[in-house]
Formats: sequence, C-alpha cells, structure tokens
Amino acid sequence: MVRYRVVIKYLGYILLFNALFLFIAAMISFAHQENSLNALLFSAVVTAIMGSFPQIFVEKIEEISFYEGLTISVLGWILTCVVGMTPYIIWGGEFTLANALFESVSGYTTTGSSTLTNVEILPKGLLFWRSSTTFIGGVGIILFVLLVLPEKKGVQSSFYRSEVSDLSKMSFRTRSRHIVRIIATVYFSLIIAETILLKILGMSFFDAICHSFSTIATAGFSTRNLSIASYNNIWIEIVIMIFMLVSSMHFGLVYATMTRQKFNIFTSRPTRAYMGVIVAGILLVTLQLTHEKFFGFGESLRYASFQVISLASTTGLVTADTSVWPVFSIILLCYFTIQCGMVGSTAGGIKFDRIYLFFQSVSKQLKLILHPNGVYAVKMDKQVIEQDLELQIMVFILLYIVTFTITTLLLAAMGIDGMTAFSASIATIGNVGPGFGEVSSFGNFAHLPDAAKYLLSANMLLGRLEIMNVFALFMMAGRK
Amino acid sequence: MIRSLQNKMVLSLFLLILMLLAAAVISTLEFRKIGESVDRVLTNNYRSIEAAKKMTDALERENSGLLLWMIGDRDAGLDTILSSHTIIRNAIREAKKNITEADAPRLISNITEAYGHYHASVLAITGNEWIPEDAKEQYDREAQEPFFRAKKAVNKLMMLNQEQTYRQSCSIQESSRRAMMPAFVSIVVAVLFSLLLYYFIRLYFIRPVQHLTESIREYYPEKGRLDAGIVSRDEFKSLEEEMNKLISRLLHKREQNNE
Repeated sequence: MVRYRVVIKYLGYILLFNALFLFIAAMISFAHQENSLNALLFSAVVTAIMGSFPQIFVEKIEEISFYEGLTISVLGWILTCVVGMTPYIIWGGEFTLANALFESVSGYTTTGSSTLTNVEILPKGLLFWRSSTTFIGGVGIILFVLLVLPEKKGVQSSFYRSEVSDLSKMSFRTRSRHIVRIIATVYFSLIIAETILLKILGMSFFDAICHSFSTIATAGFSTRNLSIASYNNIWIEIVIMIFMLVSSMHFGLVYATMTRQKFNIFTSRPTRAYMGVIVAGILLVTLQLTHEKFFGFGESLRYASFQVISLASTTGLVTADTSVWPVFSIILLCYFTIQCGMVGSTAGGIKFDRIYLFFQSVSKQLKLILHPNGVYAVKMDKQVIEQDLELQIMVFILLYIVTFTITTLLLAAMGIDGMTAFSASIATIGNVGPGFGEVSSFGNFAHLPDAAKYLLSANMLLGRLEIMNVFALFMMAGRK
Repeated sequence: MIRSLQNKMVLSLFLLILMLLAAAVISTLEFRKIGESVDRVLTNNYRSIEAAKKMTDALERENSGLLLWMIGDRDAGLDTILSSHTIIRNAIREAKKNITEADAPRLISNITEAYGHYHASVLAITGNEWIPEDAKEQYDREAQEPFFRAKKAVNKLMMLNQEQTYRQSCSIQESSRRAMMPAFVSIVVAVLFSLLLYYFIRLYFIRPVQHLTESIREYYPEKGRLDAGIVSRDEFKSLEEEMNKLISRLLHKREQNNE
C-alpha cells in the first residue's frame, strides 16, 4: 500500500530542489537587470512554498517501499515538468501553454527539442533556467534528491530500484549506496572539465556552462539559434564531440577509467562495440557526403562525426543541416536516433546495451533451433544475463517500438507528413532532440499543432522513464 | 521537526499568505511597468511624434514661403517663413524635452544642424534683391538640398519614435500577461494548497479525533490503557497520554474505595 503522505513529502523535496535552481536563475536575471526576474522569482517562491508545505506536517520517514519509490519517481518527473514551465508561461513571448510544457519536458528529459524560433532573444536568466532543467534532468531529479538525503538504507534503495534499471546496475561493480556518489562525481567532473575547455576555446563563461550542461546531460539545448554551428570553431566541436561520447557511456565505466581501474570503457566489450558502431556510422556518412559532393572529405568527416555522435549520444547539438543530406545518410542517422547511448549514462532511448543483448538473444534462439539441447548464454562482459532480464529487454524493445509507432500514427492523423511524424516520434521518445523533415537539425517544433506538442511531451516523458516504470505504476494503480 | 499542531497550522497559513503576497507584489510591479510604458507612449513618444510632424509641416510651409517670395508675393512669403521658423524652433525645443531614446539626441542635433543650414540659405536668398531668374537658380543651388536633408532628419526622428511606440505597445501586451499570470498561477497553486491542507487536516486532526472517540467508545476498565493508535507526537498524543493518566488515577481511586 502506498502511503500518500510519504509520496507528498518526497515530492516536496523535489520541488525544493527545483526552487534552488529557480533562485539561481532569478539571481542571474537580477544581475543582468532583465525582464525575466519577476517570472523567475515568483516561480521560485511558489515552488519553495509548495515544497516546504509537506515538510511542516509529515514526520520523518525511516523507510519507503518499492511501490512508494516508483510512485515518487514517476510523479516526481511529471510534477517537475509542470513546475519547470511556470517561469516560461509567466514570462510569455513565444511560450504558449503547449510551448512552455514542451520546452520544460524537453529540458528535464534531456531531449533538447525546442519550440522556440529565436532563442537568442531570451533573457540570460531564462536561458540559464532552460539549461538548468537539462542539468537537473541529466542524472535524474530523484538521484539528485538521493544525494542530499541522509543515508537511510530503506529510502535510498527503494528510489534506486525505481530509478536505475537492472541492466545499468550490472556495470557498477560496487555496492548500490556508492553508485549515486559515483554518478555525481562523474557528472560534476565532466561538467567542470568541459566548461573550462570551452571557455579556453573562446566561448563566454555563460555559454560555456550552458553548453556543458547540455552536453553532459546529453540534452542539446543551445544558447544560439544555430547551435554549435554558430561558433564555426573546429576545436569547440572536437571538445563537445568527446564529451558527448563520454557522457553517453556507462558512468560506472567512465569512473573506472578516471580512477584507472582494469575494467573500464576500453576493456568493456559492449562499450567497444558501441564505439565501433559509431566509427562505422561516421565513415559511411562521410564517404557518402564526399561521394555525393556535398563537402570535401575533410568537411564531410567534420560534419558527419559531429552529427553521428550527437544523435547516437542523444545530445542533439547541431553543426549542419542534415535534412538535406542523402537518403542513406538520413537512414543511418535515424538508426542512431533509435539506438541511442548506453545504459548507466545520461542518454535516453532504447540504449545500445539492449540492442547488443537483443542480437545475442536472437543468435541464441537461432542456435537453439539447430541444436535444441544446446546450452547457450547471453552475456554482458562475461556476466551471464538471466532469462528474466533477457525477456524484460525483449519486452522493453517491443513496447518502445509500439509506442513510437502509435505516436507516429497519431501525428500523421494530425496532418503531419510521414518523415516529420516518424522522426519527431523517434527523436522525442529517444530523448534525442532534432529529427528530420520539418523538425530537422536547424528546424524546430514550433509549427506543430498544440495537440502534437502535448503528445510529443508525453512521448519524451515515457522515453525518460523507460516506459516500463510508467506501465508498472498504471498496473499498480489498476490492481488497487 | 514541528510537533505542535497549532504551529503547523500557523506556519501553513503563513506560507499561503506569503504566496499570495508574492503574487500581489509581482502583479503590482508588472502593473507599474504597464503604467510606465503607457506613460512613455502617451507622454514622451506621442509628443515627440507630434513635434516631428509639426517640424515637417513647418518645413514645408517655410519652403512654400520661399517659393511665394520667389514668385513675387514677397511680404506674404516672408511672413510665412518667419512664422514657420518659430514653429520649428519650438518643436525642436519640445522634442529635446521628450527624449526617451538613446539615439534621439543625435537625431535632434542632426535636425538642428540641417535646418540651420536650410534656414541660412533661405535667409540668404530672401536677403538679396528680387530677380526671379537668379532666385530660382539660387534656390536650386543652395536651398533644395538642405531642405530635403532637414526633412529626412525630421523623418528619422519620427520613425524612431513610431518604432518605439510600437515596441512599447508590444511591451504593454507582454507586461499585462506578466501581471495577470502570477494571479492565475496563484489561484491554481492555492487550490492545490487547499486540497493538500484538507488532506493533512483529515490525516492529522480528524482521524486522531475519530480514533480517540472510537477507542473511548470501546473502552472498558479491564483493558487497562486506552490505546487510540496515535503515532504523531502532537497535542493529540498528549491528550491520549493525559486520558491514560486520568484512567489510571480513577482506577487507583476505585481500588482505594473498594479497600
């Protein structure tokens, strides 16, 4: 049974956490004497009040159940997205209700899709808030809350079970209570390192920190209308590519690499396969762009590398207009939009590990047809995957495909063309950002009907919550 | 951790009041901005536009005066030139008083300079003896170009103020939305707050009272202690403890009487 007062208390913590960033954004707005100050300050005050209110009544909680953890996790994300749109909607401009919700969900789920046609007119305070949503969403609001909560075993493990997938836990070769700290260490280290490098390479400090939030959270929000293309600086692109790639890998392995452990990103087989697939994708797109005389070899390599890594890592930052690229390249990029990054990273979507295991599973089934009595195992870095987990992965992939197919059909029913509907659907459920057609890399989602924006917002949330959690919550509510 | 129910209620109401105050302050600030924008549009920009219009009309009239002088109606021409000159000088003075834009002083200085040049050429032409052919030639040579330059400078000032008026109108639209939205958000949040408060009142006030009533109803002396199952450490817990103390005192008294 779910104790609602417990759920409300933890939702309060989540609100307080959001209020902290709203206050920081308000301070930035105040420092620049911008017209977004009132919107940000009022949102911060209201969020802080609503977050403090349950703390007055509800007593300290010693332990929470898995179901309570799951409810807090799902409702926490929904509530956060609603709270996140408050400053947008008060400030106005291009932010209608649908646009504000879309922008907020896109930020928290680290999708990076936007409904804004001109980002550069936004006040700095609001731009910082927009980037903060990606920063908060990057490792998950719940994990952030875990960081600040006192170490209570019952509380932490319930959240942990509901927020971190079973597959993701496998590469963390440590006890679960250390994992949150490992994630935070990697996350903050990468952000600090990238901010320093981007600043050295000529970005302003504000742009550097916003782009670092965006890269490490694999979100894709930029402070410029032309995204990274507006800097036209190859060194900035190289730095961002490296950080996008690292952020899309398992944080446990990144930590192991940072601390020079034996089992790291270079020795993990799925990670090596992931890098191999990306390199193959870059080469294929480069060769086609060169062959079709879009660019010379050097420029083809530059743009192909950035776009492939950006989509594969689910970041969505942009240096070229991919909608005009040859069909084969677009299909390859669509594949990377579906494949996404690795589990245990800030990336969304199916995740490469599941595809890696899926193919092993298919191969196992084919072998079993030939040798019915044979014993074959699906392995992830020498760890045998249990049948239950194998089945779970299959079900997840199936649900994922069903979800984006339904979304595509619904979008098409709203009169949106096939390519736009399909790519918008896979780009939002995978938390990637840009699609193709009318929602391409230099385009945006502004022209879509409001109903489509609400649908895609739900799609982004489903993708971020890995679908299963939402279904589990609905089943739980139904059973009750 | 706040234990007293009274403090909990007071703090809750304080938070609600704080939220409503925040909404009121933000709305007031935005309404003040609307007032300032309206004032800017009506008082300064509108006056500047009017001054620029007067300058244009007076410039045209001064030029007409010059043409009248050239065709031989010299007295009427000179009268028109002089009255237009006064109007332009007053209009420039008025524009200087209503500067709202950073670029406006430069534009006004351009107008003063261009008009000064034009007026000087007008005076030069009208100061000479009237010879129609010479006057026409002198007009083409000395007055026409400064006239267009002065008119262009006045138009620039008018356009600047018109653009500013448009921007201010848009800003009024935005400000009215920003003034309205905190109130709207507050209403929604206040409803949620009330629902939550109702939930907490039910959980921490009504339910303990019900539990206490129920346990008193089902109490009989052989039970010993009265257990209402109150887990909170607030006034209800104190009441439960006091009732237990009362029961034990009564039981003790009864035992004494029996003895």
